[in-house]
Amino acid sequence: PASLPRCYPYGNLNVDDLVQRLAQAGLTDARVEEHPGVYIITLSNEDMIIKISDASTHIISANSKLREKLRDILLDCLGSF
Amino acid sequence: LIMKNSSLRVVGVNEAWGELGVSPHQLRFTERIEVDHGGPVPTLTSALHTVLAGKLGGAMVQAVNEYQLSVADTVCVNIHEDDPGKTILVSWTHQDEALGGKLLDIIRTTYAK
Repeated sequence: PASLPRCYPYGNLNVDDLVQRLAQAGLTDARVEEHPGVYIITLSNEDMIIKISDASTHIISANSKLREKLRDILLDCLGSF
Repeated sequence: LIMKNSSLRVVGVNEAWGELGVSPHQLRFTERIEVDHGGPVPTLTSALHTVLAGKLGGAMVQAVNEYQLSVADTVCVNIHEDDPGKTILVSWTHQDEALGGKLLDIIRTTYAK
């Protein structure tokens, strides 16, 4: 059924790897801030924020197309089954 | 479906995490929708509750408070005062992608500027 998720992501996200993949996708304005236990990536031009901690990543945006693009990039960076 | 020591078994997702020795990584999404609405926030919350219950079935949608709805106990809808208008935030995890997308569609179709 359509309601089932297509995959279950696991592991930690490599922030450098993600930033590189964002750039490859044309999102070159990523600003990375490192805080205790969390990275915050801001894409100002796209009005998007990505919060990354060990076991979770949160994408905050106002653009569905871009969010779906980001989701696919994240799933490429993470392992999944 | 897990294949281990040449045997195949079907296990639940939570059990599979232990078997595979990896930790799940939760993906959460929040999308922001700006809407034209002149009245107070609780009025919009209540109207949105009625719209969503009509489309999804009343049992799916719960009012958490005057600013927040919960859908299927997993997707969170927050309504904020903005100047001018209001902002609706829809938040869900990757496992609820289909429901999250459906809610965005309904809210955008009903309220989008």
